[in-house]
Amino acid sequence: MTHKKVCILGAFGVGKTSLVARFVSSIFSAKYHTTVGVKIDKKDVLIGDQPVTLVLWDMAGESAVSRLKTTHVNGSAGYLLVVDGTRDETLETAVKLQKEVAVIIGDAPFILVINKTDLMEEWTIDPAELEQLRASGWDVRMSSAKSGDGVEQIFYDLAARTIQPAGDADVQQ
Amino acid sequence: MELSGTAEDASANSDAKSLAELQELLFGEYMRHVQHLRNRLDDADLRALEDSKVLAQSLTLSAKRDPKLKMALQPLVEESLRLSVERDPAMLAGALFPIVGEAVRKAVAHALQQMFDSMNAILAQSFSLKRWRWRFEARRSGKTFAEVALARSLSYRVEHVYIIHRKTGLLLAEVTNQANLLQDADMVVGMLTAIQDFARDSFTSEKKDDLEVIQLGEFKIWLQHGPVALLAAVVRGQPPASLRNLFLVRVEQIHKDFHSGMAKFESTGQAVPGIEAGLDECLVEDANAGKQSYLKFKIAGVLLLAAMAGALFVHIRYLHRWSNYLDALQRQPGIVVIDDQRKGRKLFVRGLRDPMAIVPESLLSDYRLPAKNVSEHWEAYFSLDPRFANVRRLDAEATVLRKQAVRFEVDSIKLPIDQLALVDTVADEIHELAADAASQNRQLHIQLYGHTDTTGTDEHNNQLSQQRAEAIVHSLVSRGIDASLLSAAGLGAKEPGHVTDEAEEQDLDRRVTFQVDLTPKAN
Repeated sequence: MTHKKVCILGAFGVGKTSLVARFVSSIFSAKYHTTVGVKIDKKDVLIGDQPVTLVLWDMAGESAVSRLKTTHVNGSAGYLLVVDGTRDETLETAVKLQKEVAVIIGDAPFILVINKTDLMEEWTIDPAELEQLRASGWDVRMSSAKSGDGVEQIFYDLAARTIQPAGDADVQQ
Repeated sequence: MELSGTAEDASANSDAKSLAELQELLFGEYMRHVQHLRNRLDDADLRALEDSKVLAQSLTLSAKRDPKLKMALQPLVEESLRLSVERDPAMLAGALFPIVGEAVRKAVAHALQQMFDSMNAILAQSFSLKRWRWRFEARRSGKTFAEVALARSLSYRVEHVYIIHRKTGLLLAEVTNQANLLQDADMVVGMLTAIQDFARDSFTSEKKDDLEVIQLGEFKIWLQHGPVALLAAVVRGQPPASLRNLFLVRVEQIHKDFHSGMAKFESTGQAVPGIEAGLDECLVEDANAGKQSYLKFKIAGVLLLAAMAGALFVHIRYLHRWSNYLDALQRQPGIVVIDDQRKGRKLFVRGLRDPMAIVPESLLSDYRLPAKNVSEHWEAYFSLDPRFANVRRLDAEATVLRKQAVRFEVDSIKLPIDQLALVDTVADEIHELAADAASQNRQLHIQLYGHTDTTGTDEHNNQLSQQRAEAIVHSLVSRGIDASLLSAAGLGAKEPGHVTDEAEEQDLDRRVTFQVDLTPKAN
C-alpha cells in the first residue's frame, strides 16, 4: 500500500470541495475549512495492480489577502490546481499558487483543472492562455463538479504520476 | 653532533678549520635552523605561545576525528566546573539563569497540569465507598489519603497508537485494541497533523513548539514528537507521567531503527517494513482502580438486595398471616375484634368473645403463627348471633323441661285433675323443643323417670314408678308427641324429691321427671 499526500488548491469558490466530494471518502465536514483551514479526505486508486491511497488536503480557498500555508503544502507528492472557468481571475490565482508551491515542494506533478464545463457558454477564460500553459508542459483538464466528468481520471493520473520515479512523469502520458 | 665534535677536536688543525668552513658552507643554514628549533622546543614560554595559536584548531580537528578526546576532557571539565562553582557560585548561576528559568517554568507547568488532571480524576470519583476504602488503606499503610487516592485514580488504557510521518502527515503505522473507536486512520492522522499546524500557526510566538496533548472527554491524545515521525497515542483515563517515557523511548527507537526507511518515505510513499514491530507494546493499560472490585461490590450489592428482599418477603408473609388470622376471627360467630396492634414481631389482639365461640388461640396454628408471639385478651359477652341464640333457646327450653315434675296421689297411677294443665304445658314444651332441635339438627330424646315415696316395698314402688312414667308417656302421646322421642323408666324410691322427713314432704316424692338429651344428629 502506497500513501501519498496530495493538495487541492485554488481560489475561493472555484468548487474544489464539490469537485471531489463525490469521489472521495470523507469524515470531516466543510466547516473545517473555515476553522482549521484545511479538510482531509481520502481517495483510494488502483494503478495497475498497485493500490495507492491519496490523502487529500483540501485547502480553504485562496483569497487575495490569504497566504498559502507552507506547513499544509509540505510533503505533498502532487497537487491539483482548480480554476473556475467562468472567472478568469481564478486562473491567475492558480498560476500564482503553482509558483508558490513549486518553491516549497519543488518539481512535483500537478494537474490544472478547469471546473464548471457545464457553464461553458459563460466561460471567460481565454483558450489561448490555456494552450500556452499546455505548451509549457502543464497538464490541463476540463471537468464539471455537476456531472463529475473526468474527475476520476484526474485522480487516477495524478496518483500514477506521484508514484513514478522523478523525471519519468511523461511516460505515463 | 658528530660533525660539531670533530670540529672541536681539530681546533688547532687548519684542515679542521677548512672542514669547519666546509661544514658552514654545506650545513650552516641547517645547523642554525636546528639550533632555532631546539631553542623553540626548550623554551616553555615560547612553546606555549605557539601552541596557543593553534590550540582551538587542533581541538576542533581532534574532536571530529577521535571521540576519545571528549572522554579525556570530560573529567577535566567536570573538575573545572566543580572548582568554579566552589569558588564563585554566583557566576555559574548567572550564566545558567536564562536556561534554568525556562526549564523550571516548563517543569512546573507540566507538574501542575499533571496534578490538576489527577485532582480532577479524584473529584470525579464520586463513589464514596471507594473513598472510604482509600482512607482505610491510607491509615493502614501510613500514606496520606492524597497519595493513595492519586495512585488508585491512575487507571488508563492506551487505545490507539499511530506513528505519523511529520512532513506529509501520512500514517506510517498504527496499532489498536479498539478498532471502532476512531474513524479512518489515514484521514484522522492527516487532520491531526493539520490541527497541529493550526495550533502552531495560531500562536504568534514559539512556532517551534509542539502540540503535546489533545483532550476530549475521557480521551487524551498524547503526541510524542521526533524529528521525522511523531507518535500519537489515544489514551482513555488518567495516564501517569511515566507513560510519556514509554512513548519517548519508542519514538527514539523508531528513529534509530528505521531512519533510512522513513527518510525515503516521502518520495516512495511505501510503508516502512517492520516499523510496526513492537508497537503493540505501547498498548498498555492499568486498571488498578478495579473492575474486579466493582464486581465484588456488585455481588455484595446483589446479595444484600436478595437478603433484604428475603427479609421483606418473610415480614410481609408474617403480616399477611396475621391479617388473615384477624379476618378469620372476625368471621367467627361470637368473636368481635376491637383492636389489634403489632410491635416488631409481637402481635396483640383485644376483643369480645361469646363463651360459646371457638377458642381464638386454636386458630393460630392454622395460620402458622407462633403462639408465643401472640398476646390475646378477650372480654366475655353474649352474642346475638342467631346461631348462638337458637342454641341458647334450645338449652333454655330443655332446662325448663328438666325442672318439670308431674305429681301423683299416694299409690296411684292416675293423673290428678290439678296436674292435667301441667301435662298440657309439658306437651307444648316438648313440641317446641322437638321443633327447635330438628331445626338445629339435634337429636332429641326425653327419658321420663317415675318416682314413688319411700313408703311401701321396693318391688311395689319400682312397678308403681314404672307405671307412672308410662302413664305420662301415654298422656303425652295422646297429646300428639312422637312416641319415639319418649321412653319411660321407673326409679322406685331411689331418688326422693323431698328434703326433710316430714310426712307432707313425701308428696314431692310421687312424681314423674324429665331427662332431656340433645345430641348432634349422626348425619
